[in-house]
Amino acid sequence: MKIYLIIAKSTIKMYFRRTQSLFWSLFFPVVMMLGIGFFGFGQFTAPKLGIVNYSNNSESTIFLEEFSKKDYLEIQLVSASDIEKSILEGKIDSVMIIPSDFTLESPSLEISYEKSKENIALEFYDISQMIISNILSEDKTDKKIILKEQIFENEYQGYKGFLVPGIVALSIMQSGILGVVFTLISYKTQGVLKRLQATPIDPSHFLIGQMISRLLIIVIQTFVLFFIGIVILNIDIALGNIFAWINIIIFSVLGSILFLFIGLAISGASPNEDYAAPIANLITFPMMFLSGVFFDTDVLPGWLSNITNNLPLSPLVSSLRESALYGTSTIELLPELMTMIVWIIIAFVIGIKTFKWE
Amino acid sequence: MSKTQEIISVKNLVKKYDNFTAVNGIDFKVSKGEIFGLLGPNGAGKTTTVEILEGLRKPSSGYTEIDGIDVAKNTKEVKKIIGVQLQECSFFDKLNLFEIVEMFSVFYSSKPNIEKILDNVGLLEKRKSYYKTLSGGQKQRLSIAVALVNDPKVLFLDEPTTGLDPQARRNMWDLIAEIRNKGKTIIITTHYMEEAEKLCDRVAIIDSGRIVKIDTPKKLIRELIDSGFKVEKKSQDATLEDVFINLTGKSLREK
Repeated sequence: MKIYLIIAKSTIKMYFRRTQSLFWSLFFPVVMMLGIGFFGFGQFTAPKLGIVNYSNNSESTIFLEEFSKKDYLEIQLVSASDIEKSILEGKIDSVMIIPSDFTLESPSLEISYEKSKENIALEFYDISQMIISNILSEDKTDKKIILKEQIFENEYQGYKGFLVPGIVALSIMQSGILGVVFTLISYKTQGVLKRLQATPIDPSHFLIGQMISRLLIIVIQTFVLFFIGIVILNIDIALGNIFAWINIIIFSVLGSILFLFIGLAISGASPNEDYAAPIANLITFPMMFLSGVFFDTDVLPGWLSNITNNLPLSPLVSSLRESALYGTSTIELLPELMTMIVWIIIAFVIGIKTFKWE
Repeated sequence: MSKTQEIISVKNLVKKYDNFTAVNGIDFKVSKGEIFGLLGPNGAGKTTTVEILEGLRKPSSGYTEIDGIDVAKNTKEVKKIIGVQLQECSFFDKLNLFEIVEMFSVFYSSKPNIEKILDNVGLLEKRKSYYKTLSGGQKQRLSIAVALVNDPKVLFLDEPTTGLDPQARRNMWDLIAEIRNKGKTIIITTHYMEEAEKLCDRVAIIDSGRIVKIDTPKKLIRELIDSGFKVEKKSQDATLEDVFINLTGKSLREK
């Protein structure tokens, strides 16, 4: 016990004394979060408009035809029952309902959107107004649309809300893998591990002590990053649902174990020290872009997303995101949990079988 | 004369690697309180022998015993009573010396006076410095400090002065002599003959994995001279190293 305590104490001290480790595990993710979060990276994609048409008269048909010519918009018909869900999940930016009594002469529309997407909704409104004016331009009339708005509030948190859990997951991966790979390899090449072997302690105690301290560090890092997201980017974690925080703890612990083991497996499996860093990068880099950190894997072709959704990082990203954004229950996240456990077992076996002290 | 107490015994020790025999049947015994030197050119098998005694490597065959404990069988027990300074090793770069010695004390479940241990090796002033800021000689002295945390019965020093400047080397000799005066048995490997002559009570000369000769340095020299060996008579009675020390002094050159 005393051995673990002194190892934990020393590992944590060294972590805070090493500026690179602080840079990569805190400064860099925060910069990325703030940079991309404020910039609104997600809005570079075409605004997505859902349409519910109750009217089906010729005038609404003409109106919609004109609308679909605007190819900078992504338009799809949705059913009335899906409106709230698609808006809350951010699948659609805004939904426009065309009432059954729609006419071009006295147009009325209902637009639903999430509060943070007011700009996009207003854009749709302006476009509708422009289209109607254009259709009616021969008459030189300028009919104002009577607008009814339905605003969903505070639920979908915009791209920031999507991004923060993604970056948190990414940081868990980076700290887990790189932390282990670089420290173990430097301890190995410098002879620190050899010196430990000359002491009466079982060297695996040292390894376990290291892993536990790193796990603590990563969980703290997770909370710090979420906290920064809450304070600076104003995201709302789990809508006040306390269970979501429990989920976040469960999944960040599991994620840390997973990536620490992957780090161990990489240090063990690489033929020599020179290979370890490139292998670590080779493994982390694709996941950074294909596991849904920055954008939803839905945009990938189906066959590819079937693969990428099973990469080690993907279940961590989606479980943290689900918990943070919607307060999803642990039971609903069981598939993610299982995928992670399978990866933990795989990495553990490879790590234990391949790790060499010298 | 009462029979001196044996603390280390090595019998027919062999260490084979795939197609290379590093140690090829070595026997020797070390008495309590002795400084025993293992001398030999690089690759002679000194370090392998020492690392088998330290429990870091398993011998292919043969028997080793320290203080009555079978090293191969009770490696952990042996590790508790020996102090080890390895030829190539390092400590945690971002821990200060006090923290390093403290950590190793816990590994040996001992509670030494850490300040005193650092003071003994002349590193008390450096206790708040990080390992990586130390000079070569200081690193070696820290290594010895760490080797002493468990108040070991036997201290292994593997090339403790390699790469040190003459001042640091002399300082190390004084330190080793002091430790011996406290009643510890010391096994030292070196390829500096001057060092062996100065420090060792007995030396074993190893070449190609075998012991060629074991005796006190004096007797070995005597034997050689008796066999009719003659050194080309030197015209001077001092060496260039004497000149160097005379000109630059004995004090350590470390910030």
